[in-house]
Amino acid sequence: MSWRRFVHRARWHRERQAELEAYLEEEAAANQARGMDARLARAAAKRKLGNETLVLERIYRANSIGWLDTLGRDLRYAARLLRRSPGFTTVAVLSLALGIGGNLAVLGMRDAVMRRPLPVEQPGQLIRMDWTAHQWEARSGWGTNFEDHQGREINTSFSYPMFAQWQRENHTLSGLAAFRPLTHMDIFADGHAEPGKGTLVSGSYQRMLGLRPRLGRGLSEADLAANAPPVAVLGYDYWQSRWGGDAGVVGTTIQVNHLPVTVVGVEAEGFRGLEVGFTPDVYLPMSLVERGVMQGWKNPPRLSDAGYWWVEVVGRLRKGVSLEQARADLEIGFGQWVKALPAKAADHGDLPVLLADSAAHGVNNLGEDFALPMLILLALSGLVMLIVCINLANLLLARAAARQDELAVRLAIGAGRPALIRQLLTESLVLAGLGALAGLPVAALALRGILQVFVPPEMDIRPGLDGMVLVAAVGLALAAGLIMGLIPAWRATRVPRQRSLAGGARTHTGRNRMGEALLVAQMALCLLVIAGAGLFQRTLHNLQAVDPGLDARHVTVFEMDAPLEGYSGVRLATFYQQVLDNLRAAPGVSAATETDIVPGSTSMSSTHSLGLKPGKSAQRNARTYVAKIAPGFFDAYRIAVLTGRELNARDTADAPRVAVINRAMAQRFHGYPVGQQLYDNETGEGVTVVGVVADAAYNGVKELAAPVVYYPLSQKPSASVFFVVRSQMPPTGLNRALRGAVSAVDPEVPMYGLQTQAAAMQASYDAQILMAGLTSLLGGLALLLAAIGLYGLMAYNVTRRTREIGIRVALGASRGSVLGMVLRHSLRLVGIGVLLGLPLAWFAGRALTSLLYRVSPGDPWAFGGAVGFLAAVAVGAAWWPARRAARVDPMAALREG
Amino acid sequence: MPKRHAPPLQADLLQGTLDLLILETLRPGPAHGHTIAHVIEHRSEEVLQVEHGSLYPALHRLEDRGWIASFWGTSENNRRARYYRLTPRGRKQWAQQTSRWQQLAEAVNRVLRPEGPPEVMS
Repeated sequence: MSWRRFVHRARWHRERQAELEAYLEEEAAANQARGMDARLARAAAKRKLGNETLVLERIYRANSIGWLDTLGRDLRYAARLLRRSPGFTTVAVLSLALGIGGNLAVLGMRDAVMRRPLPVEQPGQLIRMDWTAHQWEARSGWGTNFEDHQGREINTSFSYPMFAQWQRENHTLSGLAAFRPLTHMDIFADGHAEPGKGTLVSGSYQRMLGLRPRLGRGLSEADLAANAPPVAVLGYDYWQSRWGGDAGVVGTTIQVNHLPVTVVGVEAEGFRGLEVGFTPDVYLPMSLVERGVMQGWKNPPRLSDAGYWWVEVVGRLRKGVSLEQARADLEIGFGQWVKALPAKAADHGDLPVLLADSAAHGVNNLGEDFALPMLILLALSGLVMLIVCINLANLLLARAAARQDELAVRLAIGAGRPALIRQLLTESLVLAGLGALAGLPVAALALRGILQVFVPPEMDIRPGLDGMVLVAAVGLALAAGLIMGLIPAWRATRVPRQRSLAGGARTHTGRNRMGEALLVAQMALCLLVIAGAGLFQRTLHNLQAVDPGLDARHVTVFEMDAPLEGYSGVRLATFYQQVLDNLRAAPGVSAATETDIVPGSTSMSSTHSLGLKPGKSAQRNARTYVAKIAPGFFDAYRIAVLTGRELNARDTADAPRVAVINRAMAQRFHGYPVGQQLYDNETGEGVTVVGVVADAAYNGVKELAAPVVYYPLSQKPSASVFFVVRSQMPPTGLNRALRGAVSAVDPEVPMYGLQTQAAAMQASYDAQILMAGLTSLLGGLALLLAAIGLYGLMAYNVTRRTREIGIRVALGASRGSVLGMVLRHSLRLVGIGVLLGLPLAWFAGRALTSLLYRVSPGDPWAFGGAVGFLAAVAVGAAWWPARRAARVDPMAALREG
Repeated sequence: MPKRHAPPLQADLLQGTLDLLILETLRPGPAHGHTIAHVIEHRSEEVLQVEHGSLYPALHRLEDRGWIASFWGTSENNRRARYYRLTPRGRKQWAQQTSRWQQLAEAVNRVLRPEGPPEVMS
């Protein structure tokens, strides 16, 4: 059996026909020669030959690849049928496209945010180190903190000596690397400076990850030597975007934060650093910190201070070593090291616990934040897909019922039941395939929309439809085709032959129980999706309705980091003061101030512990947030001063140390301790409380009554500061005015992150905005699909019951009662679905608790809203079928039967 | 000894028998379907009644296996006919199948008509 024959089987068929004809002629001639009459001779020859068709068919079948031939026939038949009912096909393909497209988009997002393995050698061996503690705070340092799904606060930073010690003394890792992302970089090349992002890396980084640089070489241990010339490696994407992929860049000198460095290579293509959502433009040896690549980072000496926590650490497991073995091994050194640190007043023996996690997908702080949301989105989009399938199963069921005559005839003339089921399944698979094809552009569009609308630009992710997503598309199509096709196919072919043939399809009066059961299930799933969306909408609503304790309207903020441009000491203070003066004098600006954090944002926070007892103290204390502010801060934000005074221009660097605390802080001391001294538990340093202000948001908008202490920037300067401007001017004009005011002082110092206060606070609940938006989209989709499904079922039911309705009307039923009957039926089905769905939704809601804000998993608004939507769908979708039922002409209906 | 009145046997009763008969028929030289059918019928003294049509799928199968090859030619009566001839592989097959058939036939015959006395008599 060959493909050649299969392809040419038609020609072969003709050849064989000719051959048999030749036989007949030969035989007839022989018969005639024996004296037979010509006609008889031919007939005798035919008898001798036997069943000619059967012979040809046997040969044809031997030439054919059976299943392929049947498949081709089934496909052609399915295509013909689908073409014949374009309405059905359009609805089916569109809803499948929406369902599959939605699922692919969510998969693509998830893939981009968390699942893509790092493009390094054996990413599965990579692990990252973190630590957690209840109260323990690193003596000083700077790292990423986040809450994991168990509610533990995870800290990612370690000191460089700790890393170096691990590198020397471990038995479980084949390599370790440290790195430190840098957000504010000023990269000067080709005659102009641009803000950029960088990463400081240990000498082991390149080799441990097994990265092959695209050009030149990667960084090595030698680059970290004290006397090594300063060098840098460019990120591939940056090389492409800023140098257009010019190989000549290797060997040239660029300036990173005014430090000249030689470009020695370009990093591997596709490698975007270890941190998901942060693509470094330049990779720098860690030792450049000591050469002043980051102003103000020289003290404490970061490469040698054991108590300064600032680098993130990844390692590569040796063969056969488990994550836990490595963790236990590293914890030995970690424990000794922590204990050797100068005792911390507030520790109380609550020492940090070392954690280790797989880093195959990168050091993924984004992923931690989005793990649960993505899972929920995946689940919801899966539910929507199920709703699509049920919808189509119901439509196909109705179609199959309408085709019962045809199927019965085919069964009667000898088609096997498996053949019919295969035929019907082919139809649903063809539909699903078309749906998946149409779903790909839908997914691409959806991803683009999601990125533009819901994902903040600083979340540097690049979702796309890669191979994994395409495989998922095929899988989804297959699953959908089977799910939606099997039940109808099974049922449709179960027709008792004679009855159907004799009676005709119109006489069916039994209820469409299978269809109704499917619809009820669909409604329950739909309720689940809408209620989930409702919970997130309520969360978002609550977040937006939070009174942050400050007036964010007409407030604009931006950041400056003048030390990067060489400012320091008095010059720095003067520079910031000049900027502030210029801002205050700018047209339309009613107030301007300065702060080291943007209240209500989560971009930065710092904490320490304060007590009433003089000197260093072991007093256990809850965390206190710290803000350093300029005079006019409370005025600019309209935060009420409750008692005492606010910080003013007289609180200079030489004046007595003062602080303002908020109400939550004051309550800790059981009263307004104005005039009292507060002592830093760690340094023993004292400050005088001069005022108490109302509570306002500090770290995001969720945490409102946290204790905050405000210090004057003049007494505790900050290298980088945020400027806060209150103005009624429209944004474009204002932004121009602000840029003008700043560049009048020094055009070389860039402004970062110019945005409204509202946007800065909103960024603290990006995840919730994303969730509310996406779940609402999915909820709307589910609702639309449910409406289509309900309409289809009700319309079908009315058609089936036309005769019965005709009899009812003939016997005196009013139009209104017929209308009511159909609507009641619809409401009853939806009602049962709702009753089944409510407990499910309540249980599902409990899984979302950690993402909700001031919303209980059984929130009456969310659930009531969901039920209301479904009730509206129940009436709306059944309205037209009900109207049609009410208009049934009894005479026509009865005659037709 | 086959008899004239014996009921005709279905030629494809034994798997591969028809194949062997076709190969045998073609051994002297090329022939077309009609000839092959009649030769088989004739040489078996009409015991092996081939429904002539069933020959063609068999011819097709053998050609597919490469044991025979076909070409269009002109018959004795000046008609266009499809001729079949043995290929070298077919010749090899003929030799193999013939000897296997003979072994089989002898074995069956031995069972049916044991020669010599039974081995053990007590």
